[in-house]
Amino acid sequence: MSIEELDKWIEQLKRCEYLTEAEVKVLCNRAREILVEESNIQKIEAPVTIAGDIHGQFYDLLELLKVGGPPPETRYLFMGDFVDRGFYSVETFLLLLAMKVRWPDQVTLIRGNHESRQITQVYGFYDECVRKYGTVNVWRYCTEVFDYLSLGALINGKVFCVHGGLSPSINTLDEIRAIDRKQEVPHDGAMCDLMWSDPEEVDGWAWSPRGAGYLFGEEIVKRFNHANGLELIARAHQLVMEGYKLMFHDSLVTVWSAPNYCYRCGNVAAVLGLDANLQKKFTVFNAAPQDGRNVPSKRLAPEYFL
Amino acid sequence: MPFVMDDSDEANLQRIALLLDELKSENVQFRKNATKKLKIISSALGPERTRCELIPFLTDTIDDEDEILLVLAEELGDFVQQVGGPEYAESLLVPLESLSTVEETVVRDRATRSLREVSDAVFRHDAEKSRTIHVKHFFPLTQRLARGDWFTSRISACSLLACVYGRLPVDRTDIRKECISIFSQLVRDDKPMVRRAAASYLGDMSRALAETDKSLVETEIVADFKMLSEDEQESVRLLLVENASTVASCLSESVQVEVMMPIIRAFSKDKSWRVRYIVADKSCDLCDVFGSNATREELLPAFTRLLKDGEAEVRTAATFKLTDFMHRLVATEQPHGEPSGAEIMVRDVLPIVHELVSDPSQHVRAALSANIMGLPSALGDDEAVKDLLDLVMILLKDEFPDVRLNLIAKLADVSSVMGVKRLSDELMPTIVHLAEDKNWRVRLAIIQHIPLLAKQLGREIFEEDLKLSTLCIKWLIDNVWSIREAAIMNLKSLAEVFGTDWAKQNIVPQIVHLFDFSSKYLHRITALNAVAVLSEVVGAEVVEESFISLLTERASKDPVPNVRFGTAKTLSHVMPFVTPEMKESKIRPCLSSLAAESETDTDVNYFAKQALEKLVANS
Repeated sequence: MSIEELDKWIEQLKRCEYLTEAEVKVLCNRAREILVEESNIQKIEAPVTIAGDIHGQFYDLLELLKVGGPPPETRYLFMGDFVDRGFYSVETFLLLLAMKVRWPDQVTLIRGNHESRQITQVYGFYDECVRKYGTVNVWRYCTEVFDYLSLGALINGKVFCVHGGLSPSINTLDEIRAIDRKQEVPHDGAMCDLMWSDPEEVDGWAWSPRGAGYLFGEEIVKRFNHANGLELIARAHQLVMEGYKLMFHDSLVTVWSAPNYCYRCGNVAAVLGLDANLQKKFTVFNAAPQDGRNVPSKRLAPEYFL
Repeated sequence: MPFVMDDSDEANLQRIALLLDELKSENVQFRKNATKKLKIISSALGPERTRCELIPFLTDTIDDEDEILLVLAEELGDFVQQVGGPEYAESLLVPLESLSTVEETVVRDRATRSLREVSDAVFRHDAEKSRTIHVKHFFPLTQRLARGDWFTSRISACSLLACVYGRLPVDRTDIRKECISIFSQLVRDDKPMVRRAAASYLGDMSRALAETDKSLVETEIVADFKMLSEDEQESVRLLLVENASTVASCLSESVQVEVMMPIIRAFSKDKSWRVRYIVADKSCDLCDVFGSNATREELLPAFTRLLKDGEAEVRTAATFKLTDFMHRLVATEQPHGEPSGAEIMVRDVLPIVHELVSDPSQHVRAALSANIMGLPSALGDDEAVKDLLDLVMILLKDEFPDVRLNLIAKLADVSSVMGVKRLSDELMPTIVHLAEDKNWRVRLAIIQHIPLLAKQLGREIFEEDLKLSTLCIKWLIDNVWSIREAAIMNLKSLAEVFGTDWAKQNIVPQIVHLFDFSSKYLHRITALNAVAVLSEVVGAEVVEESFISLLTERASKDPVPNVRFGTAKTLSHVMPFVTPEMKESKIRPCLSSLAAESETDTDVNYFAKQALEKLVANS
């Protein structure tokens, strides 16, 4: 796979035309080679633009890039939940992955709770792959990549980014670094909690209504940030109508990047820009206008003969 | 297994055998794939055995999966050659007839479309011979479908009658009459679904009849039309409106006026808003068919009524036709002693347009803003145009972004009818206001119109308008990347409109300032992109004096790697605009250091090497 080919794929994906099964295989293999080198907590140098859940809303991802600027000029961190629920999970994930492979230092992808075999079989990505390709192979290639995604990112040593939140079995970043991440998201334990937990106005830890992960309060965040020399925890995972929400005296922020979530929630989306000095600048954006979308290009299921 | 294969071609044989197995497989997907390859199977069998064995096999074992039936119906539409050409086309009619009766609409529709395609193929091959085939096969088939007990087959009959009628021999008035009477019965069917199908083919039927005898439309179809116009189902009436102009075009003027017009008038007051909606949508087609007099006397009053309709959807549809309808009105013949079309417009329509500007529905206002600029050319009259521009100013301040956007898209039209004075006094403040709109697409639309406005205003007024020139620079630090990019293109266009000197004084220092004093790396990158784009128009002197030192001395040493590789990219853009000495003394050393191992960022290395390659290729 040459750089020219990769650029061609990115252009193609930006037109919402998906790759062939063979191309996906090549792309996913290359992505795994890059991701396997990354740490559980990937180090990033600011300035960087942080995005939250995308959920297969491909045209809104394009809108995000129109607002934030394209990589490599703009450096990005996407905090998981690329797939499921929206109509274009395949195109969304492949575009993000192709950009990651093309600009490994400028695009960082971390794992969300939807980057999982079990969840994608329920919430749409599996069905979409089968519908668009006629076989489960593409879904298999993509889910194999999921296992290699980092669990979190650390910006300038000060901002810890994770999809869901904290875990009662984790006190230090080093404990996260020690997790063997190359597996399906487990039902409980540290790795599960990082992708499933939510901040809430509670004392200490509480049970999560999601059935996985925990709720954690301000005191927990304060202690964790102090113990690890952090200024801020940035996470996604929860719909916020204004696109972002600061909590706990600005020690934690939720970023949400799927405008009009599920095409009906009426929310705006946001990305968080951190400059070289970690100054925050939120940019809010709306869903892409309807007329910019085309019907997904029809490609018949692969030929059985010939 | 019903087929006996030749053993001449082993591989081919195996493939066909496999396909035939697939055709009978338990697995739906396999059956579907095999059905898609029917042509391969039939080519192997040859035409005769396709007719005698494959087609009967397909007919007998007709599948129960709609998905496969759909594929089968589609394949059979293009199967005439496979059965041995048009002489044998009738063999296809049996399976297609049974497909035309199934429950699933898409399958049925596809089957009748395929029947028409088979009819077309036969007709194209030999028009005269095809008449016999239509008498012997297509007509009885249609007749059987029309008499079917189940409504699905009767629906299919509706869609075939017009096609079959036109291909029967002209002298067979008996069966031609029978076709008309079958259609008449379908129009009066108990099931609304059948009546709906009949209504939707009224236009086609009229055209088929009119081909040989126009008077038949007047005696037969008009009665059907009238009958259906009183149907209690709005969905039937709705389809009738869609067919009205086609039917009317086959009628003499007197029947149009006496019979059709009262029906159209009633439709425009129909109790169902959907029917009124379609009348609004089709109003211009109706004008074209009914002509000048009816446009003035009947259709205009109906149209103005629809512009004031109680339902927002209807008003929106009518408003979308405003420009087209007014141009038709203005073009009508002016009877002696009557007002001109434009005068009628001022008298009857403009007062309504005034009301539409503050319509409670944003969609109506959006439709108006997309159409209002088509009106001045219809009006001609200066006073009325001035009046209209007042409305434009109100719409430009509408709270709903689409209303503003639709008008901005027509800004060229607005400013060209406005005149420079009014443009700078009244339009500019609004533009400046919109330029800071919170919706970035509105801002983008405005930016894209700035070069045009600059041309119309002229350099002097543009420079006096400090706000505007400040904005042009301010857009460079917009939060939204697309706006920053558009801002750069705007500056380039302005440099082209006002010249190099102007750019040197007004733009270049601002760009340099932007780079040197921005704490945000994205803004510094914007400055670099601006340098790359502006180099194309500002001339070598400015590039060498102002840009090269910025790139090689400051930007290449930026702490953020993205800015450093941006520098490399920009250097490769400005290369063609500098002297060879400059390339060697400044650009090459700078790129070399960015490409060197001491530079730790791989992306910076990559872009610097790319630029170096270009440097070599250029020198």
